[in-house]
Amino acid sequence: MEYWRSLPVDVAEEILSRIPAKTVARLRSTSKQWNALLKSESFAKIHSDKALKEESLIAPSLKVEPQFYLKDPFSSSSQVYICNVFHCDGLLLCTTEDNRLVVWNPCLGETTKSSCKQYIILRVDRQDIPIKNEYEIYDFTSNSWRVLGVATDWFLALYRTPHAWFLLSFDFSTERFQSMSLPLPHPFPYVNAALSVVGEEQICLLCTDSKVWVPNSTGSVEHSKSLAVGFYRDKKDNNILHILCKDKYTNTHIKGDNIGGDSTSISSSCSVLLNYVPSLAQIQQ
Amino acid sequence: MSKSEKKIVLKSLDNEAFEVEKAVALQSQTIWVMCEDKCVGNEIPLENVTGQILAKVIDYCKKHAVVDGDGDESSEELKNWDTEFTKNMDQSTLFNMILAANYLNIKSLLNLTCQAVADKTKTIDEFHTFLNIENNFTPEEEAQICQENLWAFDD
Repeated sequence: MEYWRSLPVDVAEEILSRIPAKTVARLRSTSKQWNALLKSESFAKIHSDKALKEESLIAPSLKVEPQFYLKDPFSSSSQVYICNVFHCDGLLLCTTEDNRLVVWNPCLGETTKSSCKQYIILRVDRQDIPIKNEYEIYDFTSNSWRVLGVATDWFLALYRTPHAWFLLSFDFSTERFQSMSLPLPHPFPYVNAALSVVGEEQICLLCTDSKVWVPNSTGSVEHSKSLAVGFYRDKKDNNILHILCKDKYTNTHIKGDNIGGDSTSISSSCSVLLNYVPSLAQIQQ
Repeated sequence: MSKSEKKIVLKSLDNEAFEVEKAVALQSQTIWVMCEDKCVGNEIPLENVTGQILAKVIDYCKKHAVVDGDGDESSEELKNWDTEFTKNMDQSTLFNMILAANYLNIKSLLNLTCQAVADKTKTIDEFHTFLNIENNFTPEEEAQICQENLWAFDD
């Protein structure tokens, strides 16, 4: 296909900006010029405007375990284990075993301790005895943490009456916490619950004793009795729900608003599960 | 305006002449500039486009032109027409359509054809072939990038 040689670079960029981030990531190894182009900030911007947003899944203990260990930003050899992952715009914020925060874009293969200017991190430094909860926001202009508030005689999570369970959210624009009521009246099912975000826009809550709450769609899980740590909807079949617990992996079928029917159990020691939308969002080093 | 002034003749690389309504041709920014500059007569030579491709470009422009107020097709219909338009084009035709849309500066046609290529090209090998790029990474460098992107290779 000799004719592609005459394709102007800006036109090639037009085409590449329309393919999913995961495919772009694979094209990086094509040549030095393309690697530089695909990693550039200008391309990331065009790409985020035009490309199809495709959901992707990382389930470390299931099949991609080695990749889930981050390269230590301060050393090229050692790798750290990740405790928890949060995501935004295809960037992953990971907490590590040695209590550090790492921002990572798997598409670009880059890790750093901080993040891009337009991203903000909220963290809660929680100490139980004596009670001291420090709420901090990462400020990128000063590259440092700013204390939002310190609580010494109360827990924010228990601020409302102990038996009314709720979701706690934080509005980054007003820097205020908000609470959101849960749909089920009985408090007990929420004791061990897992929260998941579908397609970067829909929050789902899975409760251990068989209830799933998805805004716009609700259902119940019949078999899951142990602690669920994560779950996600199937990429190909929207009616299949994959559920991860501390000691097992299961998938089950959603029929209308109910969950049940066939389910399989696969032994796994997975503790982190992530369903997110890859992007070429830049991380400032 | 006399009838003849509303028509314009486009001449392809292989000397094929197409008489079209001016409103159809002016969707091309390149032709629009040429007409504005009055540097051409009623006949515009297009040195980079073959007759076969130009015929398709004109088809597209006719469909998308709003001529004498009869451009009342719904956007849904137009979208379906666009899909059909590129559906059966082979890669070589699509490629030449992209070059023509780029040269003639017809933004919507460029968007449509670029999207069609992106949609039709499924495998990495296809992109490698199409982009026709010489790999100047050393095997070690390539392995390093693949390592960074391991998660992207899992299915």
